[in-house]
Amino acid sequence: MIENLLSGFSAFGDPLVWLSLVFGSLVGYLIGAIPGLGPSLGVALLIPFTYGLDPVVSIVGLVALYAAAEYGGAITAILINSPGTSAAVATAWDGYPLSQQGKAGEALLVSIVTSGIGIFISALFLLFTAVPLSEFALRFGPGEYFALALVGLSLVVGLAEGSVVKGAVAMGIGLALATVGLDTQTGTPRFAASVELFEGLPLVPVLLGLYALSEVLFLVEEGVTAKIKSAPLGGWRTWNWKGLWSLNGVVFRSSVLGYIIGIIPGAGASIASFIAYAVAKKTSKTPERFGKGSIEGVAASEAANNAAVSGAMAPLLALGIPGSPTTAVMIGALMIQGIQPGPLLFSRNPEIPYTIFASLWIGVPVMVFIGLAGARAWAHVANIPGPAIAAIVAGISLVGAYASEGTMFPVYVMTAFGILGYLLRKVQVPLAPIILALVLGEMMETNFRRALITSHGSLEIFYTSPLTVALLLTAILAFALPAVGFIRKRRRAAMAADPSV
Amino acid sequence: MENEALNKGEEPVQGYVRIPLSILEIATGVIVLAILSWYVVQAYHLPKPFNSTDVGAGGFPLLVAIGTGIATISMIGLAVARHMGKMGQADSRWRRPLFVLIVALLLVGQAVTFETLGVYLCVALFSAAIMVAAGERRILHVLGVSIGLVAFVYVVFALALNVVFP
Repeated sequence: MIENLLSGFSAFGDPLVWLSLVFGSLVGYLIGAIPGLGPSLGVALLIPFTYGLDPVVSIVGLVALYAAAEYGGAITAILINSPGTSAAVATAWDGYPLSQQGKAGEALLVSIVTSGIGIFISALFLLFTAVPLSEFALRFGPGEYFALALVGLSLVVGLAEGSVVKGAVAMGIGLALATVGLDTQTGTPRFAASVELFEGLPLVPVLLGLYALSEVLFLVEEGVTAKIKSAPLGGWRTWNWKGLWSLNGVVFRSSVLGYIIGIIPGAGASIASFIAYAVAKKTSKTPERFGKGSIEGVAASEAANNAAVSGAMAPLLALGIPGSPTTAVMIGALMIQGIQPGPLLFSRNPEIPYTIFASLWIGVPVMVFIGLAGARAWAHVANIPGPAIAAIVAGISLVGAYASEGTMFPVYVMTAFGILGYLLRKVQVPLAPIILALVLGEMMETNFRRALITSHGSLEIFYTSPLTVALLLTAILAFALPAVGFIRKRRRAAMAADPSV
Repeated sequence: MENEALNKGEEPVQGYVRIPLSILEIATGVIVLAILSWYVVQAYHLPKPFNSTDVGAGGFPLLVAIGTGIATISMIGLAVARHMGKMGQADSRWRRPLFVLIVALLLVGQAVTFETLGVYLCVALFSAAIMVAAGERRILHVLGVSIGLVAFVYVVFALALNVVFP
């Protein structure tokens, strides 16, 4: 492990890797600071820039973007009460009141530094959990892998915002799309209306369409909005490092919580920040200050949502299961480079996971520096007119889709999925399950069929292995619990309306 | 079409169309079911497995279709219940629908004309058109973003990444 880790750090001997780290961080801040644009869109838009680059250079840029975008959302949350990402909502609860009290600088400093600490601590956890997890996963058979993929999908559906039923429909659409192309076992063409579809739907254009192009249409809905005045950076110079030390308990607890929640597919940075915020409030000596400008609240939310980035990497690297929509997009980026995430990644391409570990640590001071140096500039990013963002996103998506294969087919696919993505979002059908199912579909089907062949066509293989049973039960619970919750909520509402019920 | 009190933009918000979410869910469900029916027919006609232990090329798609069908019917059922007033009703707001439609057509247009116009002309023209349709009226902003974007595409994709464009 030490040897591989050192080789991960040695990748930073290449100036191109540094360039990628800085570029990824800058773009991440930019994306994160613009309300409405999230890390998934950022990573999808950055993929076209990685064509032809070395996989290590590409992945460092993508990871840097992911982490910086999660943080970037906090800047606008604190200065203008407009969280750039959903994960920064809890930051705004205390960050903006602090700004109104003339302590915006202090809130920004704490949020940047605690974000960095969150990433640093969680990267350590990632190193010590992903490697053993991948070694454990090497013992998995096809039954376990099928069940694992199902757990990943069911958690994304179950924990997704909004209706579980719509999440399940989205998952079904994604799985159906994953079956398009040549059957991997028999080579039979399935649902392929043209030869271009024989290799299946191209992942990058689908991602660009669903995440980037659909956002263009939402930006058109917004039109040109008025400029928002940012709060002055007060408290920047008066704040001292002693103040940070007093937050060590909150930051450590939130980082651990963020990492653990980040591992759970579908939970993600937003849930991590909300839970960490609630725990911090419960354990605080001054809970009454939460919501009115508590620096602990800012620290808890930021440490947790950034720690969730490393958490989401764990199932991606060790099992090949994405823990968040952004890591699902990242799988697409790795696949373009010919790299398959999963347990074998650590033996076949150890440079990838270990460079990710190294980049998370090395990226911390870079991210903190860029964040502190450009705090004022990042706040202004939120004032970039929506029409300009729409035109830039549409242009880069178009060129990126074409560049992915050098043909027009991906451009048509991207356009179709852009419009489809917009319509689905209007009906409040979540997009994350579609992407995850599209990514995991082939793996699910292959392992399902392999499992059946191994057991001579008997379904016994799915209920004789304790691990498979545990995983399948988790999947069922992930689907069932939100449904039970929904029924209980309805019953309670009916009883409140009519006590005789 | 209703007017919304959102006059913070330089270009006034053009109002919005409000459609009951349940109607959209029912419509979406029906479309999904129609596509699923085609999907099932196609899956059913795929070659049968070579041996009895495999489910064949159509087996997994059929399972997917069953699961998705159940979920879609549940979505329609819940939407019908909501529409009949048995559950809370919600709306889907479509703001500036005409401009969204124009930009959707522009996106299709840029895909269709990409080869004919070439990358630079296509990006310049359509980025300007998208900005105008999105509400931007400052000509310098429109020109600046279009020219800047073309320059960016040339430097990054053509020069640095050696992508060969039509």
